[in-house]
Amino acid sequence: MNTSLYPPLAIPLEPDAHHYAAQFAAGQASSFKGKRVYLNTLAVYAVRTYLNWLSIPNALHQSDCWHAGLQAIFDVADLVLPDTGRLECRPILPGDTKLVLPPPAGDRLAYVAVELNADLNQAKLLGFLPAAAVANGVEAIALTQLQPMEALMNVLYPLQPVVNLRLWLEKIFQQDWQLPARVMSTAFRGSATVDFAANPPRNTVSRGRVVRFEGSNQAIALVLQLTSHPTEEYDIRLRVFPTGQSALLPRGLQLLLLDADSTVCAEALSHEGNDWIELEFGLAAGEQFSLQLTLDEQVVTKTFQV
Amino acid sequence: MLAPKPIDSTTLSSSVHSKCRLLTRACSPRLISRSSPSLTVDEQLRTLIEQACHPDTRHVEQQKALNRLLSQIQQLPGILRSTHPDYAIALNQTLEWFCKNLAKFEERPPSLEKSLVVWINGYLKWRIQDLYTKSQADRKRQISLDAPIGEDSPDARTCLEQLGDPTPSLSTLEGYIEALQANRLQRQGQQLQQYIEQDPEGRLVQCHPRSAPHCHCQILALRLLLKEPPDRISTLACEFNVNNQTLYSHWKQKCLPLLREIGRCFIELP
Repeated sequence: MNTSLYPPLAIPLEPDAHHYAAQFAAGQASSFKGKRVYLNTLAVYAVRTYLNWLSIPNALHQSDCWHAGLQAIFDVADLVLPDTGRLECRPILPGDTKLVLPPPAGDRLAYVAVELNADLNQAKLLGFLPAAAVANGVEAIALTQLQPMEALMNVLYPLQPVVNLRLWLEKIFQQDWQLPARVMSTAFRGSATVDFAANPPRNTVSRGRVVRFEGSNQAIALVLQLTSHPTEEYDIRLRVFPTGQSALLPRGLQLLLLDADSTVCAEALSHEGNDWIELEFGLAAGEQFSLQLTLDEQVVTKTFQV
Repeated sequence: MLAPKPIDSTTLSSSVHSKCRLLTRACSPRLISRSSPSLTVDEQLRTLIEQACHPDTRHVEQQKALNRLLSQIQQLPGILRSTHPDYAIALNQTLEWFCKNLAKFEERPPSLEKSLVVWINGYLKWRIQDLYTKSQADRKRQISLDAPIGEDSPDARTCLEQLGDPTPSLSTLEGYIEALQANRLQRQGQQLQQYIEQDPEGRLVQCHPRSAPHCHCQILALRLLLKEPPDRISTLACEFNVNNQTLYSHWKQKCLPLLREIGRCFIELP
């Protein structure tokens, strides 16, 4: 095991954890399923308590395991971290030597092993494994392979924050990504030139944010439109608009599209009198890209992953 | 007066590479080496508090130091305990407060360890007190759980005895859940199981890999999710004579979205 000098954290299970677990278990088809849902709920609640200690934002109510229909079909114990993705919190019982992975129920950042004691009043966080380290089709992980919980921080706080676009398709957005109309210049609001907001198709989602160039006091609105296809392929349209009251983009604003190896794949440049510029491209699931915005030698980079 | 269409518009055609990148990042070496065994508890605690609070430390390293510190604290003797059934709430509130307010902690004689325990207990004591105050207020509003139910009742047990243990243990869990389920008129688990078994619209049976019509979503859902205990994908791949990866991708790309849609459309009945 990747042992830590420090013993695993013990999480006291609050009465609320049992309250939810009992409520969810009661709706299952059998006592076997009920027990599974009960233990999954306790494991998720334990990880949530841990994240709360550390003030790491999490959203139980957006998690699949909190949804009556999804918890009944799948063996699911996920916890949504709105800024980053989902953790799978697998319950481990005394004497278990493996973390068993059920058939996948969705994309995960990491699998956390949560050992419940026989009295079900305490959970121990034994460790975790990043999902990227688990090959497709793996059905169990030996507990000796786990990394200590503190290393989970490397997964939650990557050196460069990555916007997880997959969550957008589930209507989970980071706070600074808002409806396009909220960030675009007032000169554009209600304009027919903007086909982002009005009646988008079901497989399309758009969000925008204000990007500031510190120092020159200039800002623009970056709007990203994501369209998903059943083939696990995605179309992306990145548009840059003026923000605030400006009717035009600053001249000389450069957009560079970079792939995960920082190779430039496409570029766009604003000229005098331009009021928007855009880049369009396609991606496969799991691919990462960055957008580098340059204005008056000031550079801002945003990284995304589908 | 729209700007001309973009200067350049290209397809990103790079191959899949992000997985191994993420892996390297997630497995980067721990920056802070393990404390040497010769360090005293005070020295270890002091180092961790400095790492967790120093303004120049990167946030991720601060969080790691807090992880280690929490683990150390759980081993310290002298943290207040209580037999109150909601003690976990008080303790969790205290640990959350501890992480948020650590920068305000001041070491006092005789030792850092002792002053840290006193500091934590100073907060925890009041959270435990809150629990008792709340229980008292609740008791005044409700009937007494300790009183016999009625003098004429042949059942002389108290309310508390009749309710049984409100939180089950691992060994009593299944019986406890059976009792809960018996009280529910409508169970979403049964309704969804029935839907999958009957597949009234034929959506599940039609969803299969082109080369293996017998490996459809209905049989996979029945065997991988609803069977007790469930089968593994590898077992089914062997049994159906289908490549393991083919079955795995079919599950992830085709069955999963379909089953999620069915689960999401389910509306909970009262």
